[in-house]
Amino acid sequence: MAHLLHNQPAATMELNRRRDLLAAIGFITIAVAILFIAIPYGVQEPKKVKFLALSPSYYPRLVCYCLLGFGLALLARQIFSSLKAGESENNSDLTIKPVYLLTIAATLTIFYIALPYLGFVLSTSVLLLVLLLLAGDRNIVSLVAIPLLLPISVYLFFTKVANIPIPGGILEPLLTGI
Amino acid sequence: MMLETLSIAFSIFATVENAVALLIGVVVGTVVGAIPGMTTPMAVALTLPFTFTLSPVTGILLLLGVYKGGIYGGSITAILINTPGTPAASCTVLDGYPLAKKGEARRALDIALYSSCIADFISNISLILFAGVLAGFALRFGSPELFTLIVFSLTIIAGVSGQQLLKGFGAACLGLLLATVGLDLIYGTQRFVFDQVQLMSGLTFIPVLIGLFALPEIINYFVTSAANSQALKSPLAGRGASWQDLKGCLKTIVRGSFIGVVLGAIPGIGGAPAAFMSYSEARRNSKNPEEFGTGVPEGVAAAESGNNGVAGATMIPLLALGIPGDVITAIILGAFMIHGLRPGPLMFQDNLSLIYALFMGIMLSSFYLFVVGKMSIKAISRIADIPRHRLYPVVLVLCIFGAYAVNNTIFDVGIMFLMGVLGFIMLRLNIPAAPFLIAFILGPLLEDNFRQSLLISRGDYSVFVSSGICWFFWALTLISIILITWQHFRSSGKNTGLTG
Repeated sequence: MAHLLHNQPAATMELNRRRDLLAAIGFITIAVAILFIAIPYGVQEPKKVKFLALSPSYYPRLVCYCLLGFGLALLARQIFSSLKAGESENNSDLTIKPVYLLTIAATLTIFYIALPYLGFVLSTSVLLLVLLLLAGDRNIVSLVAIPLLLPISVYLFFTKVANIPIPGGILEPLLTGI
Repeated sequence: MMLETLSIAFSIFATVENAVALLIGVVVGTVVGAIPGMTTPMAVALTLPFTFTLSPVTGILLLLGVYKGGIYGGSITAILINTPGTPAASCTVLDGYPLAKKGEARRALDIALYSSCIADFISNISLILFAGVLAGFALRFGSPELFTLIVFSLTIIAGVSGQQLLKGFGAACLGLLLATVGLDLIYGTQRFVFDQVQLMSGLTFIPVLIGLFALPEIINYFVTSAANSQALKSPLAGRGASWQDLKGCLKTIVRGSFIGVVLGAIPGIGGAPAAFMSYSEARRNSKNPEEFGTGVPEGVAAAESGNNGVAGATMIPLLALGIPGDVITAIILGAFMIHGLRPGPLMFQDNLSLIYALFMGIMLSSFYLFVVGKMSIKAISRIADIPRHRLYPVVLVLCIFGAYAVNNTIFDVGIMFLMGVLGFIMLRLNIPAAPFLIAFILGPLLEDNFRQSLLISRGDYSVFVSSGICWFFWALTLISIILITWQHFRSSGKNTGLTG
């Protein structure tokens, strides 16, 4: 137990160091990708620009250089701090469960793809049911009442009160009758 | 003469219709503001048709009620579910949600309400007393002055980054980059649009806000706790704010209110920069600046007083000069014109009694805001008692509807999900989300004013030091950077001392 407690700060330090390292690599990668891919292909330059600062790509470039600078500074700090901190064996990340991560990612992706076809009421009803089950809700009343009543109530609020049309999808004929 | 005008104004104002319209407006605004995705301008625009058949004063008071209620309402969901109802309430999230997580949701809601009402009252008084003076001062703000003002506002990024200064700056750069998506302001060419029509007008605030703040929390809950989730009852409701709390925040509230008043009088600024600047000042003047962002009442008070201080002041350029400062006052200008009135200096000559009647109504709105807010807090704070395994799926569905409703496009729902993924990655890598959000909100103002200034000066950078106002804000920025750096190294030194 004492051994575990002794190792805890080192493990936390190592975890934070890994996070900083990943953040630094992320910043540098994004900055380089935008500078060399997104700006040349994604920013349309006019034929003639009065001053360099008026060019549509000037400001994004400036921000990218700053991002690159911060990424490099973060990386440098990690390299130097790692020399001092040394290596730690504990590399486990907090408590993310990959199965749950994949399940939630798949659920939201399928929901987004199905949304235009099923409409908001049906798709959010199914989504609610899946999420409640994933969250461990086993109360039959809430498993029936929430997915059934909430999407219809919100749909009616937006369409009837706020006058904002919400796609009903395959339930459209049924919903317009309400 | 003056008394006669006031007496006529009182007779115009003191009707049951006006009192009821204002009350309905405040209630509707509070409810709508609390729904993620329903913005205050949207609520005011939806209410506009109802004013056609009303008298000018009744109609405009109804719209003003919705406006003021909406600004306060945005803070409710910001505190309870980490989802700002309006962009102006995004600053309230920084300390409001951590307070709710500590089990002090009611205290946070109370502080938000008191700050909103006091700031609203100060803003209204300023409107009545200083409309002419402030309108004249606001007109001296050109693009270079606005640029330096936004640069100064951005110094708060260092403040909200805490110990993660470099990561905070990196996140801010990402926010600034994301804000550049859309058509170029000067040449009208595409920037990072890749021929997607939906991206041409840039990314909408609300899906980005919801995605960045609400979704990471929900995703994190599902991927870390769902496996052993039981019916977790959240003990959030807690006690309300005490007199001591209010007393402790009073200085912050008054300071934030005046920041809101000054920024509100400048056309085109809006509530969000005022909230962030007020927060920044509160943090800088605090004895414990390192506690900001962890759930301190002062943080909520600063944000709310800043964004509510704007409410009355945005009417200053509208009434005194006929210039709408933002979308909401533009809609209200429309309401004036529908009723055959044209705000501006002439209106102060021809319809002074009507303006005074409006002022009376505006003063009443602060009182209504307090009553409606106080009554709603008891009911609304029960949201915090809902077990998280039920609350989070429900919040996600509300977010989906809200993200769609802003522009009536499913594309925005996709943007919300993408921002949720980005927010989740940031959460896991310990990258603060607040700098990203601040930069995303202030980014367009920064770039537009930067390029407009250079366009006016034909590329001469000395335009940014061409006036006293510019020098004033550069000096404030410099002082701010020095103080923040000093505080950062001092607290780093303390931490090293503790751990070493």
